Amino acid sequence: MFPFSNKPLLFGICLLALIAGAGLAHWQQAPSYTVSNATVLDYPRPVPELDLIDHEGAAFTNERLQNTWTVVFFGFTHCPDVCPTTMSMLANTMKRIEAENPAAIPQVVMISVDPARDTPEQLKKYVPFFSPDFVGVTGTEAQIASLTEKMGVASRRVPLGPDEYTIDHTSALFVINPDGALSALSSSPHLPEVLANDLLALNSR
Amino acid sequence: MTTTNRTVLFTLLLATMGLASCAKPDQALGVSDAWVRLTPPGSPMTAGYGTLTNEGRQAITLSAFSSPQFGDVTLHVTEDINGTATMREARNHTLNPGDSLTLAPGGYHLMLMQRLQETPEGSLVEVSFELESGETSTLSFVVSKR
Repeated sequence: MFPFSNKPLLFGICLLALIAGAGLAHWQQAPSYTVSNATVLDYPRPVPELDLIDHEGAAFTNERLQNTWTVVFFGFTHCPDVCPTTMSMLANTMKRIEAENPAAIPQVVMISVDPARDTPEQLKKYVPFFSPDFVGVTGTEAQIASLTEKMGVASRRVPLGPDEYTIDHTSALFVINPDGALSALSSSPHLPEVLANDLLALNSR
Repeated sequence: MTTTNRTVLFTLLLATMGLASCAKPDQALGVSDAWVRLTPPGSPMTAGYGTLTNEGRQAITLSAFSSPQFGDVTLHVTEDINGTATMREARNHTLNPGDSLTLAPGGYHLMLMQRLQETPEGSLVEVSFELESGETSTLSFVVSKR
């Protein structure tokens, strides 16, 4: 039917059709995500200069926010309800993302709003309990006060008794893009399935 | 079944219901799905959750708590007010007969401070609720990493 000289052409057409078919199938199967709960900033906002310390005692500067998505939670270790609940929720969220797309797992950072009690040693005991990949970050009281003010993070000490206090603090999660700029805010209540979907959506934009 | 038998059975049923009603104590507190979050290392505190129900015939005021495992037990409530998580003590919360109070992450919880002994996953934390009658109702909460 086909002359001998057209066989390579036929082979090429078949190969192209196969590739196109495979590509179409992949495109149809690739999950698409839509941000449902986070507030995405139209113009990502630079994160203020960071000169903090992580739970291993290493410097935590803006460089640590480069080339990876980062989720920041402002919390503290002397917190019985909201903080362990949020940290546990974040660990569950990461498991969900890992099951969908391991390459999209963001860095998770807890920045302490209680630097007086949350030393790097204290954070090293607490933060990896929820996930060995999570990073605890602290600084001096002045550094944390400056950062929270610039980022619009509420943080207020409330006495619980003569020697005890708790801290009211912003419950939203801050999502930072791989350029190190604030890209989105996720408000509470936080649900692992919703947050995982939103982080996957942001990652695929 | 004869009519006589039916009457006897009905009478027995009524008597049983009457006895059950009489057996209901004035004050009794029950709990379901009771758990305490496994205390993260480095933290001296954690929280207890579950659904408390007044199973007695009189109102119960939740005013005083104690535990052999924690030196300071109080009822607190977390509220998110304009994006800020706040936590305040809930003093003298009253449960009318049949009423329940759900303690859940991000809401009401027993705040357990000053841990006195290890409370590993799967162990039980005993919390005693002091009732106005002078009696105490001791409930068990299983330690869980959720």
